[in-house]
Amino acid sequence: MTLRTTPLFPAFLLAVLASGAASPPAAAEVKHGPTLAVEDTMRTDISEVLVHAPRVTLDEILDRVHRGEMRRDSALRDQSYQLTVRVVRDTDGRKKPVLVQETVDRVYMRRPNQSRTVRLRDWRLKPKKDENGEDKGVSVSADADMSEEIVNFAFRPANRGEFKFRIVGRELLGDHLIYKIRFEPRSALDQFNPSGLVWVDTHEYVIVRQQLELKQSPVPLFLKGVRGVVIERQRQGDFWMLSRILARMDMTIPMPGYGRSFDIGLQFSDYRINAGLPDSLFAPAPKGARK
Amino acid sequence: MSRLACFTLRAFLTAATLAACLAPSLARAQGAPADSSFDAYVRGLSDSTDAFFGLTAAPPDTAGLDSALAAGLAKPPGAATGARVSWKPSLGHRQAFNRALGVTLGANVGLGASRGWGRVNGWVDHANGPDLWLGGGSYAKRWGGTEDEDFSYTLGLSAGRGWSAFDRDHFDRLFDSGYALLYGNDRNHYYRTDGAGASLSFGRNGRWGTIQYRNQLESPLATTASWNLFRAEPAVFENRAAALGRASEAKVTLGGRVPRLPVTLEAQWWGAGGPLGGNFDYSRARFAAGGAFPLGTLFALLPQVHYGRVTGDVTPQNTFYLGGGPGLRSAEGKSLQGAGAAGACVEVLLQDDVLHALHLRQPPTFPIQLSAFAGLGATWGHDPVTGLALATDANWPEAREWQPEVGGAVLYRPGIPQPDYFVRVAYAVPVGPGNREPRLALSLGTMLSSLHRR
Repeated sequence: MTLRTTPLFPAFLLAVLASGAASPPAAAEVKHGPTLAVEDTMRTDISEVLVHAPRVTLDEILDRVHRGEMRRDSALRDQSYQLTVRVVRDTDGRKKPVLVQETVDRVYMRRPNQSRTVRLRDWRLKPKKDENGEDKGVSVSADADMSEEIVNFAFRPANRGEFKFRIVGRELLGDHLIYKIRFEPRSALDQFNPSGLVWVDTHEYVIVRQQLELKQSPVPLFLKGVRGVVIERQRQGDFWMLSRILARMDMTIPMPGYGRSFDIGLQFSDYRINAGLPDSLFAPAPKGARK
Repeated sequence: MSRLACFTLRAFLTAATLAACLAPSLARAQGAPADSSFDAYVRGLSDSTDAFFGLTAAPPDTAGLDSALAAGLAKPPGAATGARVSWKPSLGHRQAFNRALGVTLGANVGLGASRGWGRVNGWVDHANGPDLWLGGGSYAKRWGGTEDEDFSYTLGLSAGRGWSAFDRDHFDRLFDSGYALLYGNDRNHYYRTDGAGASLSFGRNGRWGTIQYRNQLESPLATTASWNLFRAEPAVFENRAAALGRASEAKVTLGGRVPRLPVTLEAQWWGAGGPLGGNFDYSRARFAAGGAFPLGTLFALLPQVHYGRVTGDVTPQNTFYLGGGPGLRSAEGKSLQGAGAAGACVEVLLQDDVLHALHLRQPPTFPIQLSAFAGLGATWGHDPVTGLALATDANWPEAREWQPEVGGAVLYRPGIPQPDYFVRVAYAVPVGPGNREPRLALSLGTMLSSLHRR
């Protein structure tokens, strides 16, 4: 074992721990102070390994993501979930945020083209009526498309040419390798289209999270910008399913009832997947039944 | 102290090692996902989202939802299969203004959906200038997928009496009517059409095409309205006479984006006469290309080119027009015409608001952008006396016919009617020989105006 002095702060900390309580200097010729103990009697050599396999290219990753999303979509036969839509105003930090409206629906979907939405809650801070005296609120309609295009739109073959992709990070978490891929509009005139950062789990090559941003507002006259668009998925059994879509809007002029800054949030919860939804859920209404 | 620190460190390492080894099996035993570090990572990202969005991201109160669901499911489900076709008629209004027809007001009614049995439209207008009734009907039926990657095609049939502008490459009914109504700045010329047509449009993955046929009698219209709201001197008073005759014309359009490049190509061809019959015999072709390349983070480079050529019968309604917004900005709008037209332009656009880019203000409500451009354009085959185009064998302009220019523009993008429309005030300076004057022009349109679709 050898001892030597070092100016490095972490080493200094270790040295303090190794040497015990420091004693005051006794004489000028005796050097005291922090020292570092280095273990040099045990050695480990790790031999270099030449990797012959080609590194997966970005194109291959994009292809695999598309195939992973297609595979996920094709394995879904039916699903039901609870959809909560929430609008919160005054989210620019100047005032306390206020919930303006919240609707909760139960949505049922079954291939090839069946869907049903059951309204469970419709709450508004200031209810409005339409010309027929009916409550005017958020209307939720769903088709049987379970491909979650909002998550994977940039990776679809029809749109991929519109975006530039680059890998901005890789993270190894347990036995999961996560790719962080950034995309942005390829055309310099499409800066009002979304740019984004996606997290791809290479286990199944599905997108687990996406953050979007708009470099320019699509309608600068009314919409100042959109901040912090977050799209999250969560694992439901064997599937990664849409969990939340959240966005913060900043307007150029205050919108009646919503103010100058407001949030829109969609939460998808309580999934039932491939549970075999009964035909009775989707049966057409008998003639004369009230819709 | 050192013993305590060592013990703490060792205990932490031991616990972490045990956790790493045992977590998967524990998780599997509990039926939870196997990858705790991965789950923790995803959960951590989600927590940061919660912190940012606060109330918006909070889970909903579930009280009362079960009973509401039971009550909702007890009701009949309604027709929930597929897309419902609405047979309720939709009504709309139509309006236009130009010096040939005056004020044109009308209405349209539509029925059905293009993806179902098809959509039928009917319309009727009255033009108060010549006291003329116009009207017609159309039918559209669409097949194929709804997504961009799905191949889809649309069949269209139409018949009726209508009107059109000479410049078939650059005419916008809404904006040109607005310019004419407000201050008489309308340099289009108009003619009447009577007949029928059919079209088949198709597209997939950012590529599109159209095959059209029309058989229409084209007849001239005279000027009937010289007024405008601001009582300005009209830019053009006379409505030039169209060549009278029946056009039996086929048209093919192909366009699309180049893979991996921010470039769009467009090709169009019109053919009349020969086996198609009719009074006119011509072939008209036009090609255009444009792109938008980023130059760093602040600028964009926007090159565009176009070329067009008519052979055979050259009529006022099938010649090429140049000048004004699209094409040569240093020339008055549609002041150059010919059996051939070509042009190129390169523009550098400041992507950001100019004051924000100079760190003089925050991202503003009304972002003002700047651009600088250089271009040149030419038409050939025209008769300088009548202003009407004549047939020519030349496929390319002579060197003296090119009109180069440079200039700059101040731009504002309001986001309406389309996100990529700019209000542009351009100052164009002619370059080279000749006594052309610099020109200040206001226009509304896309940056790549040579293209009809991007």
